[in-house]
Amino acid sequence: MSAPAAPEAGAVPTTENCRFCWMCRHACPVGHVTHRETYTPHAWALEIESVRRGQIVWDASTVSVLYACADCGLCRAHCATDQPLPDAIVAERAAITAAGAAPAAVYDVERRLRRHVESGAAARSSNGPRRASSTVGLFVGDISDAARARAVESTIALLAAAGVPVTEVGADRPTGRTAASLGLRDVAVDLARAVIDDVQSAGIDELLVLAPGDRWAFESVYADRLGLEWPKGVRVTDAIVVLARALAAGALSFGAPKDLPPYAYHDPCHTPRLARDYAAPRALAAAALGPDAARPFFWREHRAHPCGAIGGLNVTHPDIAARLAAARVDDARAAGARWIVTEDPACSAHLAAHASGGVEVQNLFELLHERLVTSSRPTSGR
Amino acid sequence: MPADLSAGVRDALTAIVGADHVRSEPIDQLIYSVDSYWLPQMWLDRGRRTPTPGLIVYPGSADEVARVLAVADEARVPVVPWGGGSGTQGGALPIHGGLIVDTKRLDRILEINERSMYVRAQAGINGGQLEWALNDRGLTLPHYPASATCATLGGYLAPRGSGTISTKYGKAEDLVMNLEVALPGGRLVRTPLVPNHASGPDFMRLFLGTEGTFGVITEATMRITRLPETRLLRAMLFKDVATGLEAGRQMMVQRLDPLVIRMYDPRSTGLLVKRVLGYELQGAYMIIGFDGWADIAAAQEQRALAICASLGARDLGREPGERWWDHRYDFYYPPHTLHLPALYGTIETVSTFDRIEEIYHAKKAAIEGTYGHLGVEYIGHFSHWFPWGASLYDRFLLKDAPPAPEDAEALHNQIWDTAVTTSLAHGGMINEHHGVGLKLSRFMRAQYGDAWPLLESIKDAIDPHHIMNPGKVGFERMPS
Ligand SMILES: Cc1cc2nc3c(=O)[nH]c(=O)nc-3n(C[C@H](O)[C@H](O)[C@H](O)COP(=O)(O)OP(=O)(O)OC[C@H]3O[C@@H](n4cnc5c(N)ncnc54)[C@H](O)[C@@H]3O)c2cc1C
Ligand code: SF4
Ligand code: SF4
Repeated sequence: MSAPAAPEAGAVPTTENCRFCWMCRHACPVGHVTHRETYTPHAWALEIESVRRGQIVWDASTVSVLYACADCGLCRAHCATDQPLPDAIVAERAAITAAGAAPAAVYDVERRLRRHVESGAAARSSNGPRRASSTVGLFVGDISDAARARAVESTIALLAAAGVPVTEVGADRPTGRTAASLGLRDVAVDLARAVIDDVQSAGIDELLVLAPGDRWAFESVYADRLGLEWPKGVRVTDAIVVLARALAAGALSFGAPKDLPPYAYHDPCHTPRLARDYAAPRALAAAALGPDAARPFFWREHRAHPCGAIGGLNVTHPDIAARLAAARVDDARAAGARWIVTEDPACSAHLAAHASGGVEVQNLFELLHERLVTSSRPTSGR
Repeated sequence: MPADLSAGVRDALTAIVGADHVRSEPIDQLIYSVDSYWLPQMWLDRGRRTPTPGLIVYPGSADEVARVLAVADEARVPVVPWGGGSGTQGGALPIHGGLIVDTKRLDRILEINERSMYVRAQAGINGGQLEWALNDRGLTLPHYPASATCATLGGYLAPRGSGTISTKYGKAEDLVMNLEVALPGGRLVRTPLVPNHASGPDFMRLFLGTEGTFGVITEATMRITRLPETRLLRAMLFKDVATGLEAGRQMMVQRLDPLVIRMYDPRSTGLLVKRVLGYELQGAYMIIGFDGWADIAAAQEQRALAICASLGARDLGREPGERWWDHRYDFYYPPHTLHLPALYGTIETVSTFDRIEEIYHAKKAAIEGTYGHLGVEYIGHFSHWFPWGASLYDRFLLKDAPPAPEDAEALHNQIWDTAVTTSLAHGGMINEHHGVGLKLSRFMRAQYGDAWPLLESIKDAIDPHHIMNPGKVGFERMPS
């Protein structure tokens, strides 16, 4: 018997493959909350192919449908032949956007991000990288968002307690991934280039990120969608994983939990599309909130549904973004949890805005920071 | 909007389900105009259109389904139930327009009873999601169709589907304990929730295999089991189909209770097993599997190995068996699966052991003999086994289909005619698990013979105005 050979490469475009394939619909969060066949992976592929064949045209209704995909990556993560359907959908959006036919909200985002590119450049030239001069960087990102700013402060404090001083990189810089999801390729490229410049000039060999979405942007979006090269020799690591290692090594400890409610840990948006240490955030949450208080979400780990703050859905389809958040809250409630904890500040903020029925949302970095016992010995964390 | 769907009908439906749950945008009409049947896909692939629904309705409860059917019955509007749209027979196609009733909002698990080992769920729940929920508790619904990730519970039952491990656990219809069904007049009926009974006829079975022509399944209770302690997979290589079939027959009649026996004919071994699993082999590749308690499964496997050895099989060991198990569904993902622009069809059939081999050779000869000069190929594997016979999952494939869609359709239908008439002539049944739908509707009279009028009269009694899925499963009469 010969050794297993690699499966044959698909020579046809992804949308040709996906248009009559139903196999990943069980994982698609938008299909799940809308129940509409038109909002499922195969339907988006069929829509694109039907336009190519002249059976429908891009008009307000069909474009709106195309923008309902969350660009969450679950379809691809559950596809046996790894079809990059989200990339194909986003590529089609880029063509639509360039043709001026995207929803008006997309161009509003473009204008806002353009301003960001310009003002971010000015800020960087005056400030440069901040804090400890370390070969480990922390990607700060767009801290005009208050939730992110708080999470960044907490993460820096936690890392310091763990003996990992960091150089702050990319302050006020969106990664560009939302722009890329929306089909705003040019602005995404500008934002990404600015981040890459910051990383290159920071003199680091490792960049820690707050959330899987940032890692996905640096590891995949830049190369696969924007044709940009990530700085060689700079690896990207989830900050939460570094903290979990410090916890395991005894370099971090948290106050004994008392009277804390049962909680569910939400794997942040984009989790399923990445190789990820699922145990790391859970270990930290358990240390801070008590090992017996965890109540698992149904949509977790490799099947984790996004919270709704993803892919620009907030601007193109706020109703779907809200339904995704409500579904996470319902999921937590059904599991018997009263808190949802998650490290991605965008997820915690979005979920908090939609929390209801006695379920509250906590950012995991902030929570860990609050419960940190500061007498921990630094230096042995890595 | 088609003439049969007046504004009054839309208003009445909107009053039942809400405006958000009635749709008729052109994009929705396009998406609901194609299921997993090759024919509409081929037409769309070639830039043409297929019949579309007038309205798509998304009821949120069984009661709403019943009220929707009452409105449709009153207005004499065709109603087509739609679960996942993964059916391969065109059963969910709105060939006469009318209403699609998409069941996907009926997606709740109502009860998981670990004492009596059943799960009660609404019919629109996705099979993959249901399985995840059960697996979280160490349980499983032992119906593992390749389409589990895309099909709904109602869609498992309506065409009487089978999964990979049906050889041990039975078909979907063997796993169902009770049903709730909405009927055309707007009534909801529920069959008793008992393990089985002898209190008169089992009317639940009327809704299994009728593919939405008698009503809409709104809820089902399914038998579940614990995830097994062990699962032993192994691959064998037989010199030909005949010896492999004999080995499978002996395992079944000796009641070794295999989880799965899957035997690929030499052509599929050379083509599909190589493409998907990467093994280059000549002969008939067979997977055998046993599950349950480790000691019992091991003993069953030992006996099966002895049977295979006595028939001269080469034991390929565990790795290729386990690799097959881990990748068993990969065969159905593009680009591995058969796909356009090729012309193809799964012409599976089922029969008793004394006839199944003959059917395989007869179909191969008929298809390759009649259409071989056009480049049509025939491949098959034996997929679902009983102590009395087996099912032959066979396919025809033509890589270069005629360019004009009319010609492609005509050739496709001609090959189907040849396949079905050959199966029937040699004692086979039209199929084991894909159902009838639109594709095989025209063969139902021939298959049922004198019994067909009886089925028609049952249909008339349940659906007197013929609103339910007209043109499918042999029931051709239009709403009147
Ligand atoms: C890749 C692939 C692999 C497959 N593998 C298998 C397999 O291994 N085993 C197998 O058995 N089948 C298989 N199939 C066929 C198909 O998936 C099954 O028949 C499936 O169970 C259909 O479910 P669905 O929810 O998608 O039904 P649909 O396609 O939506 O409908 C199928 C038929 O059932 C009717 N129906 C649907 N829901 C209801 C309801 N609630 N009440 C009444 N009628 C209803 C529809 O009107 C239609 O006639 C496969 C299909 C694909 C595409
Ligand atoms: S991504 Fe994979 S599973 Fe999903 S539709 Fe495409 S081919 Fe099918
Ligand atoms: S990226 Fe997410 S929302 Fe979009 S089709 Fe895939 S699974 Fe669905």
